[in-house]
Amino acid sequence: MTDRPYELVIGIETHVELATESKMFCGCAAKWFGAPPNSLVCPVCLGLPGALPVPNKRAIELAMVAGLALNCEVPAHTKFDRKNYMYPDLPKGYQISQYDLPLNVKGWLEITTSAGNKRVGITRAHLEEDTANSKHGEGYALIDFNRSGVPLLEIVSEPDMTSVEEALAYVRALREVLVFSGVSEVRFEQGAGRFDVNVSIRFSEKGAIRWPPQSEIKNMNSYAALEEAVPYEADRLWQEWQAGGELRTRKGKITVGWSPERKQTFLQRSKEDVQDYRYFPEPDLVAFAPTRADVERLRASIPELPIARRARFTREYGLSDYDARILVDDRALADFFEAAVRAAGGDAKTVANWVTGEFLRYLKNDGGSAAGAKITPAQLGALVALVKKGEVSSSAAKDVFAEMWQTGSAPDAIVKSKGLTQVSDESAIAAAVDAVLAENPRAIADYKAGKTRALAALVGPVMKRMGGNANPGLVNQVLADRISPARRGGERMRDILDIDNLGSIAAENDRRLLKYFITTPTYESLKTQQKYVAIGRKGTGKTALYQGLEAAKAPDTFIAGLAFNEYPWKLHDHALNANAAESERFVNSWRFLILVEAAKLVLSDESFGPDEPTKALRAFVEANWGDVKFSHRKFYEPEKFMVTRSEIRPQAMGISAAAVTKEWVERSRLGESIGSTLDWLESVLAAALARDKTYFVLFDELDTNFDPEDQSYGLRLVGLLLAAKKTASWAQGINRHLRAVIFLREDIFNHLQFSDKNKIREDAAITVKWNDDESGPESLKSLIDERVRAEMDLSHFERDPWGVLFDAGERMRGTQQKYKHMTARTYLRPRDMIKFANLALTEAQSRIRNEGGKHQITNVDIQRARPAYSDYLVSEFDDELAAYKSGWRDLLGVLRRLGREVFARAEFNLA
Amino acid sequence: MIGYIKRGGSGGGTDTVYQYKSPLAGWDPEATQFRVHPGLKEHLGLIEER
Repeated sequence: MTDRPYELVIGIETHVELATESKMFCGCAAKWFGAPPNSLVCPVCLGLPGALPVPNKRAIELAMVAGLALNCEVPAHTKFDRKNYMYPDLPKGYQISQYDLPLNVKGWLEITTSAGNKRVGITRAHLEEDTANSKHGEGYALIDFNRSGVPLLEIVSEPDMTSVEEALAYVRALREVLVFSGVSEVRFEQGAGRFDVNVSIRFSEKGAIRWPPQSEIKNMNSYAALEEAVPYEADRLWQEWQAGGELRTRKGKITVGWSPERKQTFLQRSKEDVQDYRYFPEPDLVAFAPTRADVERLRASIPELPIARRARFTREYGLSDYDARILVDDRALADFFEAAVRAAGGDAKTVANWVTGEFLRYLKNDGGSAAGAKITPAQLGALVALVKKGEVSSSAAKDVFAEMWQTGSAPDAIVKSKGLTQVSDESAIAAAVDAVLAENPRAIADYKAGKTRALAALVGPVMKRMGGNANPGLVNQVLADRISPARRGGERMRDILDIDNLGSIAAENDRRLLKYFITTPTYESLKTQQKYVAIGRKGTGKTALYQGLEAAKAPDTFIAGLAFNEYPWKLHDHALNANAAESERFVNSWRFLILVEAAKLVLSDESFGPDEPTKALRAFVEANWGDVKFSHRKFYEPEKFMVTRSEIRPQAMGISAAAVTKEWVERSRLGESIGSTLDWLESVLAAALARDKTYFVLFDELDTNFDPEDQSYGLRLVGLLLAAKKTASWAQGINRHLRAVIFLREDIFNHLQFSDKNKIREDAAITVKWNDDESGPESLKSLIDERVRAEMDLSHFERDPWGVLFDAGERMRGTQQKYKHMTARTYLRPRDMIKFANLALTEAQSRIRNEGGKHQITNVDIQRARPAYSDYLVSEFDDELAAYKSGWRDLLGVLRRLGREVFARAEFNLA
Repeated sequence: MIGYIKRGGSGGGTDTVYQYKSPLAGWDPEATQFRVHPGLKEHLGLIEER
């Protein structure tokens, strides 16, 4: 991506021919492309003297439909005007167009880029007639008047676009709207649609904003041209300005053309001003006023537009953005899909797989359109229903589809005629299974010894006995039941269809987390109080660690788990010490909270009889907060705090509470007056904390609403880290086991700047990390294994959990193991792995229910899960990067344009 | 999100260095070939390397 020293400002005028049968002002056929030259002409479109125009009603209606679809207002009055200029392709010497009262004004079009959605304003959309077509040869020029007078809609955008990506998104979205609403076929490639792009640059120079005159790149008819010409012309303007060229003094804009061969623009002419055209009302046509009824009738005729349809497909049918994009890209394909879903009686995801898979593959091979395919939506729906009912296997269904594609025959007829009916009769399958098992006693022994692949090896022989028509899902099930009867009672391993998922990707939402919590070295170092700051990237499992630690409560282990979502930070800010150095401002406010939480833990220890220290702590906590079980979210809620001024000294068996002087201070003065109270609390706690017990105060969810620009956010965290450090060294000094443990996102920790940061990183912090090894406590495989073991009830079975859920015998393309294939698509974070496995599990369950096959996650399931997983991964990035790097979505746009996984630096710079 | 391709990886071929996997490797300003993280392929509609 180039970091340009200027802003781009882009506006686009798009011309599209309307989908009418006849021309704008005469009865000649409008479908001129491919017709013999000058065969579709009459006196009107040849501009012969005395010929009078008659407006085409349908063209006016289509122009209004376009305007309404582009959210335009329809003015009460409209008229045609003459635009006068001389050119051989315009025999009348003027073009009938619209000047000051166009048909449509003030609309907008929503575009989607990697930065999200944006509205581009539509200034106007007016109706005019197209010109003839000139062809230039060596020393001669030919003119074909077939195109002359074809109705043309000119749509003028506001200069709202600021990047090539937005310009491309605009032209694509506009094309979609016009095609979907039936206004135009927008055949850019035939010259029946073209766009002029106004490019200007804006920048600051010596403190002044410069906005040199723009260039209009005329008559472009491909996305590729737009993509190349706009940055070229913008850079050319910049270079010319820098070189002190005539751009510095020129007033008006220029018109340039684009040479795709030379990859550069060339000057066509200095642009005329509007007064040069001598516009005046067309005297041969009357002005007209569309009625409200006409407008509403036309508005009602507009079908659902692409952006709304895509949103509905994901919402209503549960499709991924990826599938929705592919389907809605072509209106006929989207219609086909919806009709097929109705015919199949639901099961949209399976239908979408067929349409985006087999259907599009055949369509691409054979050419043609979805609407013209021999296979009908009803037939595809019927085929999906047959698979779902188990009457045909999914592999046989592909053969049936191939036959349907060729002949257009009904699927049930093909199934019958080819003898592909699937046998789902359990007793017939059981008989075949028994026969095969009798021939393969070794396989039974292998399976019982944990080699799950032994089962898969028997499927083939059973299928062979059944003539290839047995329901494979049922074959697998019967085989497993026959080999391992324990499955049907007592200690039963759960089937893939019986499990919901492998856990939530957010630990705070996962009630079953502790069932499959794994003890990692990170966990151990926190639990043994060697470390007290857990740093990890988002999604690496910090909250899981927090919950694992919180669950370690025991008679000798006291834990306060404090989550800081919905924490009233504003109240906390009242307690800052404005007199302290910046990084120290929040230290005391946090020490106060930590020590009081430690006091609450001491008071919760019922094995302790009340002694002097605990009585003093109880009195202090109750005076300030009413009771000893208040939430940390209410810590800074009181408007006044009781603080202590003391000369107190610990005694052998407690302290002398009588020596404490108490006074009430306003919350706003707490920061500066809390010091002696902290000393007092430490001295009392030194006596109250038991030597042989362990105390933890845990801090999680500190990253909610993180804003790198918010200075007080950073200072609060610095204060907390320093307070935790002080707590640790104080507790070590008096030989007590108290730690404030902080769970913090790595990027936030890295962002903080304070003098003791390296010391904390070295002495106190541990990084939560995972790897893609096949085993070991920090491997993602161990993490998934534990979840599979818990979810599938494998505790009584000596099996490799991964191999039970995933078809481990089958390799991905390039002989890559599934595990490595999956981890390569993650950021080595449990969250990604769990999400990917859950999506693959859902695909596997849907496949087994609808198409049959292995009761394990197979390659196909993983492939099908990838689009939705990829959408998820991008949304994760969005969460993490949007706070720092506003340009990261532009980067996505550049990568999308590059279109390839591997690219060279030079290609990247160009894009 | 993007890794740079380094020659002389395991097996004598090439390796892709991603920051998330090798935080200490740094960025090679001389690198000429890059690879988009495989997890983003479908979202961006990228053609896969074979």
